[in-house]
Amino acid sequence: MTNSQSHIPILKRDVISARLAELGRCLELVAVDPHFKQITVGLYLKGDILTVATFSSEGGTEERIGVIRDRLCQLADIEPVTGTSHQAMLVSDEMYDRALKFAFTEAVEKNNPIPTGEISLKDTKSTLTFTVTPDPSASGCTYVVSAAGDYPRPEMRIRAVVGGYMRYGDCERIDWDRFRFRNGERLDRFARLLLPYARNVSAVEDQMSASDLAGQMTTQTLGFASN
Amino acid sequence: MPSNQYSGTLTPKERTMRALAGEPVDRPPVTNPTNVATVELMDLVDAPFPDANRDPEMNARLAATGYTQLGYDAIMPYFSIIQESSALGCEMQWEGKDNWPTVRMSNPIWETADDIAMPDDFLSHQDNHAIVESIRILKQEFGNEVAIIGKAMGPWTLAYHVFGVEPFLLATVDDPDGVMDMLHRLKQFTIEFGMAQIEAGADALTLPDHATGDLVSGEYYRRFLLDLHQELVDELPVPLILHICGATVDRMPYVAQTGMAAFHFDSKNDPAESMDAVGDGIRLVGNINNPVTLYSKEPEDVRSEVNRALDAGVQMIAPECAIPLKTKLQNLLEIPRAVEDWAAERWEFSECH
Repeated sequence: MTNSQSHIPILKRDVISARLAELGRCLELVAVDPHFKQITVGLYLKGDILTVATFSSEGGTEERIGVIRDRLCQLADIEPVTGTSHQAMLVSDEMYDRALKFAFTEAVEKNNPIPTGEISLKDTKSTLTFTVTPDPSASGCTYVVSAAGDYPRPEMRIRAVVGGYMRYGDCERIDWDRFRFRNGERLDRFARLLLPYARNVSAVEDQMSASDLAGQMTTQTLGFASN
Repeated sequence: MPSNQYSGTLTPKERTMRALAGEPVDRPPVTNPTNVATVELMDLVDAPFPDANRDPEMNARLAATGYTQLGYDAIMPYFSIIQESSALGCEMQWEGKDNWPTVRMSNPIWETADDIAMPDDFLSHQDNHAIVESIRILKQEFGNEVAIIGKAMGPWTLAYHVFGVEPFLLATVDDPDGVMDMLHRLKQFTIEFGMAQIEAGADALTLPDHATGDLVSGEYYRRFLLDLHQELVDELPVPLILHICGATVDRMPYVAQTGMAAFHFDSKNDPAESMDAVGDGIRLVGNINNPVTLYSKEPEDVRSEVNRALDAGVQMIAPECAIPLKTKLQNLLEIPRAVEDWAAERWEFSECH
């Protein structure tokens, strides 16, 4: 809405409130989409519907949101809402908050092909290669972490990986090399997504702290503090 | 009816200005003395950082969202703390949309008080001009509907920028008289920029002067800044809001003697203890935690902090400092809602809706 006496178009009021009433709670924000005009993209949750949204009105935004939504559905155990290009639905009754946030950030910031097939990844702290294998049974699905390669005590690294799944996937440790998601759900996409994070928790924590600090104005970031 | 309550309905500007003057209000205002812009608001009005700091029209568009979208009782167009220092010639790091522009204080531009000189283009420099013109635009757009708060950095903060933090702090020990001379000379920039904003239409000014709890004591504040701040009250003819980050209870009794209208205080200070520390000398504003509560928690946590501050008697509610640029809007929207609910529940004649 433009005030005829003004130099500038001042947007009509309460646009944000109205949009948030539709979108729901913001779970995660990516401040800058490196692949599309530096827009900010958010992941919102209302009921069991996830919406990928931006407040930008740059041309081509709708298509970009569609790409992000599709990548998100490949990365996380969620399904696209039929007939939409920006929404997805939780398939689990459980909310995997941290995993969803990782998936969303990757969906926006990366543009690599999303792998399929065996869940396998090289370790960053040893010469091992981890493999995570689903082991479904009548009582639910557990995941087995194994390691191949020449390393003196692979069980230590495997234990650490299972610990990483507990931290970021809210998983339960079943054995030193086994974990399961809540209620024994089979969530292979989350299992694949979380493996790079689970293998190196300390580096992930450092990265998250640095990311949180960006855009904060504190005495530390201003250089007005002693530490 | 308690003496702080007004039985009618006030405009956002009236609410803010009355609260700054210590007069009765219909509810406590949400008066932000520092930035409330976020990356999403930048998208909404197509005014991203760093350009929104340097272009008056983009600046005004983004600043206005604090009122038009968040429903706060004030508009703050000076988002950062670097405009004057840029105009003085400090080396700048402008950053991108998602981070704050900063002064490279490791490369200070001056060494002694004698180096301090007013550049011919101080007010016409792009980065000062942007703020003054933005205020003019906002005044034209909103008139007397909402309080427009300008900002002029105090001499202590300017000293960090132009001399570097470490050299300046060392000088306070080695040459305190020289430091007083520096601060008095730097005060001219605060006055010059503040007056330009007042003439453009600013209803009040925030005066950040980062004698922070992390770096200096309350006694330092009394010794180096109290008189200077009293002089600034005499020089700048609008209500002034002093902003100092960090734990500052030890200097609040001195801050209360400045004659300023309000003190913008950090969540590191307990609100009840802070109210006791300032007594009737000055109003308090702020106290809602940025890095944890607004940035990473949920609206109910924000509400809880708002209630805690209001229960303690804090007169104006706001984030404690410039908010993180990635703050979720749901948390910012919760502040005025919580204030309105608190007043509707606790104040006998509140007409909040």
